[in-house]
Amino acid sequence: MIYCNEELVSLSDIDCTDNTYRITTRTDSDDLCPSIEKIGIINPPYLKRKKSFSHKIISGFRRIEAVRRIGWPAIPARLLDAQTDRLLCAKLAIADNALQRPLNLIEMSRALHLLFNILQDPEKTAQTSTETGLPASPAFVEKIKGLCTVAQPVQSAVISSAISLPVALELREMPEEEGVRFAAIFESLHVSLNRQREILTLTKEIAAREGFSVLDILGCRQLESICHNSDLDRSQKAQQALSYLKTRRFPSITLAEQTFEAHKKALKLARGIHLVPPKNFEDTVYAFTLSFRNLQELKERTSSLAGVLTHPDLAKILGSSVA
Amino acid sequence: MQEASLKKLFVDRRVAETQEAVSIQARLDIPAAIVDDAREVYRFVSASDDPVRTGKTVLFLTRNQGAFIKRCPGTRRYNCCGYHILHIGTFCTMDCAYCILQAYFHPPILQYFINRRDMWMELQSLFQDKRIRRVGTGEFTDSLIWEQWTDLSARLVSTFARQASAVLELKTKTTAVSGLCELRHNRKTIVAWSLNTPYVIESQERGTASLDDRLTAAALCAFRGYPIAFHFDPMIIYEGCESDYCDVVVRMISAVSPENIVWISLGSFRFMPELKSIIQKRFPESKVVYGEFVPGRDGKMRYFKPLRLALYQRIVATIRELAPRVLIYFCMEDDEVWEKSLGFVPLQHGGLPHLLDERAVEICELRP
Repeated sequence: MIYCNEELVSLSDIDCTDNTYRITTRTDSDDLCPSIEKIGIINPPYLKRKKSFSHKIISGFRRIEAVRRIGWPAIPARLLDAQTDRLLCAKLAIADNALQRPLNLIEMSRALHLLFNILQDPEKTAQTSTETGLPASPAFVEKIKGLCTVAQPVQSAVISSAISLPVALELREMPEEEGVRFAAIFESLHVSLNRQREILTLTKEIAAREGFSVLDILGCRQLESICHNSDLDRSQKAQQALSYLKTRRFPSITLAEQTFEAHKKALKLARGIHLVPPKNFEDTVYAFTLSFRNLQELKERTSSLAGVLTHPDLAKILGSSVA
Repeated sequence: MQEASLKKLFVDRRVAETQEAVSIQARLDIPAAIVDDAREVYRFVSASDDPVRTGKTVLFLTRNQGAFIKRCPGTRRYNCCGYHILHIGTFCTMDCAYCILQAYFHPPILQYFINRRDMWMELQSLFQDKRIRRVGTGEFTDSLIWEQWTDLSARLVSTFARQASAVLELKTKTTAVSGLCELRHNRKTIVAWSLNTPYVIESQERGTASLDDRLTAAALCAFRGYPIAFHFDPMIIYEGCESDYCDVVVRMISAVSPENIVWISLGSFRFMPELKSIIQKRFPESKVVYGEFVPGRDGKMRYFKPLRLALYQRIVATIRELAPRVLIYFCMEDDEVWEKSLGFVPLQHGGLPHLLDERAVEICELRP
């Protein structure tokens, strides 16, 4: 049972700096102002009384901000007694959001973080969260509760879906500056989870091998130049950035692949004929694949292939076997 | 071996009353517990933050539940030497960053098998077979880390000395050879050292003997008439590694005359993919996993072939210059590597096992 009075509370009596129970990540209130002006407050915020008349916001941060923008001096609010326990306040804050709309990852993290700080137990946190409209498992609680403590740019990247959850969790384990830098790159490139992981791994391994910091690698001239090249679209930037990192991480392998491709191009293979090198050039077996739809195509392509056999670039490919 | 590194002894109840278990326990002044089930030991090790590290400080005396003699697992798709493992125990007290034993055992436990009678019986069967056999104790452990509290190597050397169809290879990174010096080995025991560059030894091989110390020990054993072998494995590629490895070859030949060397094996660093994260976690300063590796045909990560070929070719050239008659072979490499480094493939000479057998017959005076 929630004991509260509905009162008209002066905005000057509300402490808008205390974000303890803030779940929402949205800071704007543009969408709320017009409807509040026309219809008023349908769902009054919850506030918790404080002795110094500076009431703590439990729910309704955006409604209060909207009212302030409109210029109202006061807002109808549900005032909770000063003795109301933290857990009830947390549950109200979460339910007020989770029962109205899906929460983003950072909002989920804020909710679970809030509950965990009070309950100190993942199972109880999961159960309570589920009761308040935010289903969670203990494993999910453990995984996600810390996400809201990462640097703001990383959080923003998560909210904008530039960073996936697994990558965000990995960035959380890094020094803050590194995480922020990666977040900025992923915001700029908007690549898939696999690509994000690849960029992370390549960068870290280059740094480890060459004795540089991750920031040194991310701030290198070549990468900066790619990321700031306004002639490239996102996809092109991502491709070039990855290509640069792969070349730097695997210079010999990249060179071997490029050499093979150059020789293969010189063969001018006819349509339907493909030359497949051994995987990673570890084996010594190459393969020609020949596709055809009818006997005529087969004859033409077979004849074309026969002509390739004496090409000097084929000899170079096979004679070197890469080494 | 650093006895001080052992912190706890577990003894399988089934072997607790044996003379050897009692003897080992007496030599080790550390807390001991008798267990009925190996799982108690596994749980103890697994519960720690670093099970690999803990596994090196815990010794478990137990029975070998399986065969003592088994074929080396080797690897598929590459040439293997076909030697036999004498499974005397598992794991190691030293701590090399690249060690595959970190990922091989789950959990990794320093085990020593006490049911010695079973081992002797298997060896006798092997000898009665009369076929040429190369048997080693250094596959799942270091052959000589057990010297400080057991007389196993001495007994093995004496046993092998009394027959003529098999050789024993003791492979080590230690200098624990004092117990071997006065033995009548009859050239049926090969003492082998894993070698590496001083840079790799200092940066990646915790607790191992220095290169100089290993070569001194090798020279001592050679002086005592033991056939000697050297294994450049794993070779790590880094800037300047080629000249460093060549320098090791020069020092090796200075220490041990080529006519005393049975064989030299070469093998570059290769590892199961799951080892990478273990190395990154336990040795965060190590760069060994950041080379240009590709998946090999057996699923192990291997240096990109041109890179390891270049290293092999350089080392082979140096060895050939200084010791032209010494047998060089590759561990787990394919025919292309053999052809481009040594100028032939094993099958041209009956296969790698045959090559090694012939060499063992010649140097160790085997009579099949």
